[in-house]
Amino acid sequence: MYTLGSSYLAPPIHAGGLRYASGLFKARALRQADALKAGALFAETEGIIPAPESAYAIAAGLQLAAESKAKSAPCILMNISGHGLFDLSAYEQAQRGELPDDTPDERMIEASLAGTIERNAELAEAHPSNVSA
Amino acid sequence: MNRGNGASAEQAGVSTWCNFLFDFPDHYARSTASTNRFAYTQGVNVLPQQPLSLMKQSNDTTHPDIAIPGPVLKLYASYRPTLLRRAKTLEERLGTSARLYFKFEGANVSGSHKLNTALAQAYYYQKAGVKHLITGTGAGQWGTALAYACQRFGLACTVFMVGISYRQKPQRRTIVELFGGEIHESPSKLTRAGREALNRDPNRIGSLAVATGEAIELAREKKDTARFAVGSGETCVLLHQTVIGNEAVKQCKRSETSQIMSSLAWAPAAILPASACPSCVRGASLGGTSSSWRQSRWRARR
Repeated sequence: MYTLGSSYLAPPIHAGGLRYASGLFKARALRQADALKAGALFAETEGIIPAPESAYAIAAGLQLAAESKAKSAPCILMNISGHGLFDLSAYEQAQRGELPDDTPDERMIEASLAGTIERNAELAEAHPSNVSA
Repeated sequence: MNRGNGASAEQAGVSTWCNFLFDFPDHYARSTASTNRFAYTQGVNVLPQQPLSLMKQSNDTTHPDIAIPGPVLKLYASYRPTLLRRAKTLEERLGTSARLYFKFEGANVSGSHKLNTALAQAYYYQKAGVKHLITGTGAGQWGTALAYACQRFGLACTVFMVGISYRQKPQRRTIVELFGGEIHESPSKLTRAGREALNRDPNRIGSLAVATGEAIELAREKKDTARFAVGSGETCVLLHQTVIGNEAVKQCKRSETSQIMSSLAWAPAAILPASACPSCVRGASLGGTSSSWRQSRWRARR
């Protein structure tokens, strides 16, 4: 797992649990608005309002389905990790087109990473015997 | 009679977790190679927070499957197996030739898959003699799941919830309190980490890093009874969540989907759990049945 540093504040998206990823699987980046649109479609067609986190997975599932249209029909299993009944404000904002921008702040990332590197250097200096090559 | 395309409890009952570290020992070796770069413990009094049982689960590359403890299985049975169904209406709406299936982890009291690991963690902490768990939560699914799990195992529970989510989802706070937990908006004034964060975050948006920092600080203060529960991003969590994948494999075998071509790997919160079972992902991508792939892997490792 990697870090952007403890002073980095992620954009305040509704999928609060979706803020880390590890390297074993291929990740896709999606916009919050597209995710919630897919979530709303899923709710309308399947009768389950998915959590915003799950809506990202659904949006990716729909992308995969669309991408593979020309090839043999794939079978896709989506994990709906939770319901979105406590996240209705997300769907409300999405319906009204009032979702805030979810673009990460590059300058904040840089500043936060710089702070982390600086802190690591301080620690390495203070505890040299614990620094491996 | 099946419920939807799913299977009945006996048919889909899963009694083990699938240890993906066994299947990816090389990845494990790579990801742990540099972890001690700044792990300076000399001169610093480090208090172990996790029970050894969970630490072992996060670092075990030798056992392909881990038995789910009886008390955890019993609690799983109150909401598992979860629904696995084909999304026919969605397929029709999209006009896709793809077959879309979904597994739904939201129909338990916490509303999300987080309960799968919260129950396991609370069980192991309680077994290790811990009386009180303290944790950080983002959107609140983890906090609500842990509060419920703690109540089931007779533990006290304190949750620090990322400020923006705390205000967006006040019902989550109510659920934590309903299950006897204590919940604080993070950054809070209760801890030094929180107070420092408040200075640079006047809008109180908060972050999981700060919420976690607050939880660790409080756990250290209350070290005689309390421990920090790391949440849903630890390696052992992936192990616990394979109950979803294991169950899905069983359910798929029973339905027309004998092969899953594509499982979505997303961040752990949403999708990783379903694909966390290597037998599900790798078995399918290699074109064989999941179990035969795993069996050959197992034989190769012996």
